[in-house]
Amino acid sequence: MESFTILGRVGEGAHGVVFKAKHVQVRGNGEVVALKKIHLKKIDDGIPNNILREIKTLQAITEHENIVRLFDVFPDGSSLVLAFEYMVTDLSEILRSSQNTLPEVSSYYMIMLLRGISFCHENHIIHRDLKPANLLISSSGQLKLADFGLARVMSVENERLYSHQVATRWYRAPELLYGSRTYDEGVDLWYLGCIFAELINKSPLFPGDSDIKQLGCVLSILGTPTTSTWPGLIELPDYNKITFSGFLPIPFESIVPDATSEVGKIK
Amino acid sequence: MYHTSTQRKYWTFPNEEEIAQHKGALHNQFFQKLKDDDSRHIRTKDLPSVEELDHLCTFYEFELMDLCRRFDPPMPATAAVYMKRFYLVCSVMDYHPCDIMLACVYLATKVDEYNISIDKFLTMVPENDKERAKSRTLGFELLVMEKLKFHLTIHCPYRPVEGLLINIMTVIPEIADKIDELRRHIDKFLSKILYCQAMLIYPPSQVGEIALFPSQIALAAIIEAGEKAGLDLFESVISAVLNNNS
Repeated sequence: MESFTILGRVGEGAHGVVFKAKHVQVRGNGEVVALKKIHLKKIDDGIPNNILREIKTLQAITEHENIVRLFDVFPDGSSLVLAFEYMVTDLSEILRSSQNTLPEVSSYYMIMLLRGISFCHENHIIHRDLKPANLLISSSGQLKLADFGLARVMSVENERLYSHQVATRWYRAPELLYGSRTYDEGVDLWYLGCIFAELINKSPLFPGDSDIKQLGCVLSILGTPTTSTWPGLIELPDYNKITFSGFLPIPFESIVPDATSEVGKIK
Repeated sequence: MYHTSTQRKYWTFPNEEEIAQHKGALHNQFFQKLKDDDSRHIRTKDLPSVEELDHLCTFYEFELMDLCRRFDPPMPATAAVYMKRFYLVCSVMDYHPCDIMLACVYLATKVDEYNISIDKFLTMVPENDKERAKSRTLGFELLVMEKLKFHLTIHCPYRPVEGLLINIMTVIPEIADKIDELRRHIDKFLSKILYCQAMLIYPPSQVGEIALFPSQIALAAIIEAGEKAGLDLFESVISAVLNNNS
């Protein structure tokens, strides 16, 4: 910690505090970094899993312009500190503050998001928690994926199950809502779609109030799935627990009325 | 991904001699420190030798395997490699292998996504010793991570073995009948190599990329398993590998 000057507090997470800080030493020319400090003393089971996942995944895939860089990890007393590149804002802030984002700007964000995600998937990593707040924006407007605390390396052993309790509710993919534990990188693509719609509409596409209502919210817009539109649907663990019958899909043009005709072509 | 990994860059050594040199240097450092701190006359022969310390570590490596067998599936490789790497950086004289073993296994359960609470992890520890074991396991966790340079991903030979098996089956489909027997021998072989230095010397994994050389540990495991099962797989393994790379 001696090699950093703390410039201020940026935020607070579940396990610690995030500081904005500057490198004292010559290395990186006084580079500004975000320091995530985790106090291990207060945690029952030692170093939290999501921190280990973050270190593990970012060590494997940090060399990409659309993925946030992890410069260093080091202990500080009984705390663990992660030094990330400093990013000025995130997509949720941008969505909140500027109501008139140009479609061109939105499409640039989408391209950067797609590049980042495709790099993750090429490296067999599912992010599992994509949402505007986890998409950081640098001072030069570059979008970078961050918060890999839920990221998982896809395993080859088929019997290993994944948790379906992942992702922030509004962005959770329907297979997760149906309790699937054998999903794949498709869940990340669902988040992509949600974020794309949010960029166009300037409001979340599926703002469910609870986990149950979340599925209702999704189906009321996209229509109730059938075995022909979704093969394998009835095999999902929670399929029989909740039924929402008879929703018809809303036409694409009404879901995202402001979308340009080009957007309509990619649906 | 092995090619760009920290495992290849920082934790793969050319041979056993170099590993022994590392350990010897650590031991000398410890001896020097002891001499500087203590006015009494200490001779090298008063200390356990590097070999004796290695034996002590091996004992705890067996303990580590036993501990991992309590979990389902056991997956001891990550923890075993953590412990081997730790004692390439730190002396056994400074850190008791029992503490380090517990911290390595607990860290590995998290990294390999077998999420268990510390209390459940320590079920085998007698009740009156539990608090102590808990504070030591958690207390050493950060130190172990730091000494491992925060390099948490261990590239294991399990994946390459599966990949090679599939390739071999395309060359000689008959082995499909013996596949269970082969797998049993392979598992045994891969557990055994965790007691030696193989994981610090040989590349384990080249899955997901075009490999120039076949993964050595995976190859050895399959050929050895074939011998045990009465099959001479050498030729077919080689041709499977060559096909794969052409």
